[in-house]
Amino acid sequence: MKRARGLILAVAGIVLLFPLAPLLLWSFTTYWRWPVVWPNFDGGHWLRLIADGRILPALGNSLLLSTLITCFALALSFFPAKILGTRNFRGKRLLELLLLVPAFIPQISVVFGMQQVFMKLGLYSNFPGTLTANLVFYVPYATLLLAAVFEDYDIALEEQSRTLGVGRLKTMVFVTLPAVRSGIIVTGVFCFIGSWAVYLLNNVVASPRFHTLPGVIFPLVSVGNNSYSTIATAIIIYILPVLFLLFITSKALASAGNLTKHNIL
Amino acid sequence: MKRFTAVLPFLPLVVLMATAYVWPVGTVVRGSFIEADGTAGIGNYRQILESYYFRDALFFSLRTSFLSTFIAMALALVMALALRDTFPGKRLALFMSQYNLSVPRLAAAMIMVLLLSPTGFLSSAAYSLGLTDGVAGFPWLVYDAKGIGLVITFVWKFFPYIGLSVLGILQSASRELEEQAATLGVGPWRRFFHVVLPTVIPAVTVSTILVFAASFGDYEAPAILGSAQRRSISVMLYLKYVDPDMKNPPEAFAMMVLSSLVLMVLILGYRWLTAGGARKRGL
Repeated sequence: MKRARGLILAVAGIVLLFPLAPLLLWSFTTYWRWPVVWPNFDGGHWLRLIADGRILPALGNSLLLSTLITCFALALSFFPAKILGTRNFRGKRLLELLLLVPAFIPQISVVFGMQQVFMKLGLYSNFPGTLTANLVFYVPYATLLLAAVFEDYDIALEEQSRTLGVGRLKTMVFVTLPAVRSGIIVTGVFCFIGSWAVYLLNNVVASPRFHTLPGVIFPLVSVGNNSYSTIATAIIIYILPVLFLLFITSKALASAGNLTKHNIL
Repeated sequence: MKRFTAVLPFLPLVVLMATAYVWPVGTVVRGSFIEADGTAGIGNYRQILESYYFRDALFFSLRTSFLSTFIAMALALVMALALRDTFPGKRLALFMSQYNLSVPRLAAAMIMVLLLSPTGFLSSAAYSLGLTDGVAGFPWLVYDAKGIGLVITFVWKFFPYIGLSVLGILQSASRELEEQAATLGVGPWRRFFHVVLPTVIPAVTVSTILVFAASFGDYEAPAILGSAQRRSISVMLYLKYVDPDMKNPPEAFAMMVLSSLVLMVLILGYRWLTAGGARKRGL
């Protein structure tokens, strides 16, 4: 059993990590073409890509957009999730099912409808519109995740605190929030990571002048004649922030077992 | 009054979804019934049912996402079984098995191009090891009409996601049943198929469905490493709405509605099947 586990984990580790190897090698080399396996060192792509002047602003835009999406998604989903998780009422299962719909239906089937409606509402091609468009997918998602968190939460704690004369706000800050802290972190991380990947939606709804990282990186492969080194460097810049985020929150993620138990994650 | 305070927290959510989701969906559905001459009718649907490209793209996407989900599920089970006990280095193993949750699909697809294309890393390695005699000797794993590159990308991206769910189930479920079966002399394979699988499958229904729907509806990966001969449904829909050569918005709307309906029927059917299985076993 032990040997089987070692073998499985070793194979899984190689399968999972191996695709990153050429990425790292390519981004630090120059003139590395088929069929050369071992390249020579060159860090020039990093400098060129950064000097190109599109990647860094796009990185800033992506950070801003994903952070705002995460904050809004958590704020708008917190109270509905608390009710969903701690109370029983008629139509709860249906509501949960409806909240899953935006995750199921292919985005391509909805984005052009959004484009038309957003034009009418004055939300097309501007920042508030872009934020709203993303929230449509992350508020229901966050609500479901947080509802699962609240199912493990003991609402009696709050009642005790209120009975002892602690105010509503103080109860919330000192009792409720600490109790669901890791669940909120996990939900936030998943919203951030999910919105970090959004390309199609922003491409259709956002302003053509507002570039996020995927918007700058997608054309590198699909249009033009960029070297593998440039592409590899861009991908590393793209995935490092979310990788880092996942790494620093891995402790909270390890407790995501109580999320998965509820069959949602 | 009590009713009102219970409904109030849902208000922003409802307003947001009604204006920015339900209305757009309505726009798409309504658009799908408006025919070329401006009258309402089901002409678009009749047209696309006869369209070879639509059927081909739909079938191609269904096949790709079915294969991806099935393989991802199998790998997730193996991985979760290997990870469920405590052992030294578990936290590292857990992180390694979860890190690519954070890798966006766009990046995953690009990584696979660098790795698998005929001029990519594996091809170079195969050539220098003397396994192939040139670029042409390496199999087409990306931009291929069979969708191999897509399946590889989706499996690589999604199996840790299902694995996380399976692991959660295996760690919280008691091992009593398995131990009893073992005491009764049931071998590991039969234990796996008759005890572990029936516990896990219904419990991961939602994550399986999410992975299936995500592979089916994904635009970025097929746009980057799909083939021009066989398009996936989302790439086809995008072109049908935007590309000057293929443009036909009303037909595109009808295709969007129909493909989403097909997906919904499959999802509900699967959910019904697994829920039925769980009921039968009294879970």
